[in-house]
Amino acid sequence: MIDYIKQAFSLLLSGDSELWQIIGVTVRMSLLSTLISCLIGLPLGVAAGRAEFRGKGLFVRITNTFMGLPPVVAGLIVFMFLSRSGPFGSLKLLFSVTAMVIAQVILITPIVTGLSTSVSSARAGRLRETAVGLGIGRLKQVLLLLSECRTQLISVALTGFGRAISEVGAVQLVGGNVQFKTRVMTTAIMLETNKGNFEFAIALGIILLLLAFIVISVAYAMQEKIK
Amino acid sequence: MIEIIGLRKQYSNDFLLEIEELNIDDGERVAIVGPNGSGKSTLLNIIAGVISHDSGSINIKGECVFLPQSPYCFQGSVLSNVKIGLNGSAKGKDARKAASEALKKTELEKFGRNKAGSLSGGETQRMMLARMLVKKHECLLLDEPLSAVDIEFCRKLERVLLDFCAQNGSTMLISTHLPVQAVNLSTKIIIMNNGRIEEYGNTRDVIQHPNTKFGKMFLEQWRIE
Repeated sequence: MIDYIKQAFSLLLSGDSELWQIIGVTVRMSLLSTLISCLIGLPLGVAAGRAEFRGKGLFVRITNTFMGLPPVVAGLIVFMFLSRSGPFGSLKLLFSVTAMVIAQVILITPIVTGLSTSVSSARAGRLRETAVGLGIGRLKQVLLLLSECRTQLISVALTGFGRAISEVGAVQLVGGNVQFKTRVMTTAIMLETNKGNFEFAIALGIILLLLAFIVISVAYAMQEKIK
Repeated sequence: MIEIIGLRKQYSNDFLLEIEELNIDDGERVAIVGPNGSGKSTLLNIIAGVISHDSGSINIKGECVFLPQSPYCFQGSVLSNVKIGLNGSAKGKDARKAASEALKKTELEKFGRNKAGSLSGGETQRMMLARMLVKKHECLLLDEPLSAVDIEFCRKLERVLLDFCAQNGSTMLISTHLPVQAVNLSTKIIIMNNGRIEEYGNTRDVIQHPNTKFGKMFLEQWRIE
């Protein structure tokens, strides 16, 4: 194992342009898809957690079902939409990082929405009762709820990021694992494994873990700061 | 002034709150008593606008604040929790000063910088009360606000509530299960049973001469307790 770790670091330090390009695409794709998913999922989830409406149970069930959406299915749907004969074929997005981000957003948004619904609904009832009692307006109530759930919502975003960075099926389908273009860490690991290049694949895996560790450490530091 | 006419709220578990008429004058202090599940909290929640009602009208003159039975304790310090009660009416030093004074009233001034979550049950209730008394209100709606506070502090906080009402001319509607508290705090008393008002009148009159069978039975239980 120590040999693999050594190899991972020597790979990183070798300045291999392909490796750094893969790392760049992985980080860009994961952060962008997590950001978009959070922009959609967090407000939607917090609003759903706070509100009492007819069909809320159905909304939660549907969201929870999509939380378990198989990546390959998400990838297939995006593939069909973006393929030349598909409705968005003219945009020529297939086998691009954009297509990978779209697939990731489809996968991650339900996770962010579902978890933030659960996080916010646990506090929303009593907070609303207290805030209404104090004459606090609706907008300020939402801001207070967001502030109260902030550490948990960061964890939700991190869960989304974890899914994004580790995903392989969907990005392989819509990204095509094109060298110097759409190859990410996970698809590169798959490729190297298929070639029998196990040492290199494991070294890539270690780098992937290291990347996740760095991003999560930054988020954790933010969490501690705002506690 | 609080004026309620033909109020109805039906729950799916068959509980029905039905108030034909209830008038509470300005500056009046009214205790709501009754057994568990009689509708005390529901009535207060509806007046506060937390729960919607099916029919009837509620007219409130002036601004009401409501302290629920299990109020939400915000993250952060005790002082910041109390400042939330200002609802933006004071900022900066003024807000800090108002919050500190409210904490002083409930004898929590030394806990101002502590985390709100670190307080005991009774201290938390005192903090919630301070959050409510941090600014002037024309009407206070309190749902068992001192249920976790020990007897010694109960008497002190009752005095604080009476002073607050006297200074600001506030109307107070308070639900309690403690006979002494009802007597100490109220000028009028409501006895509720099964979602209806059984008795409503001057506290002393109702306690000495209840008109209904339920009122007599309930007050008899109180005397035994």
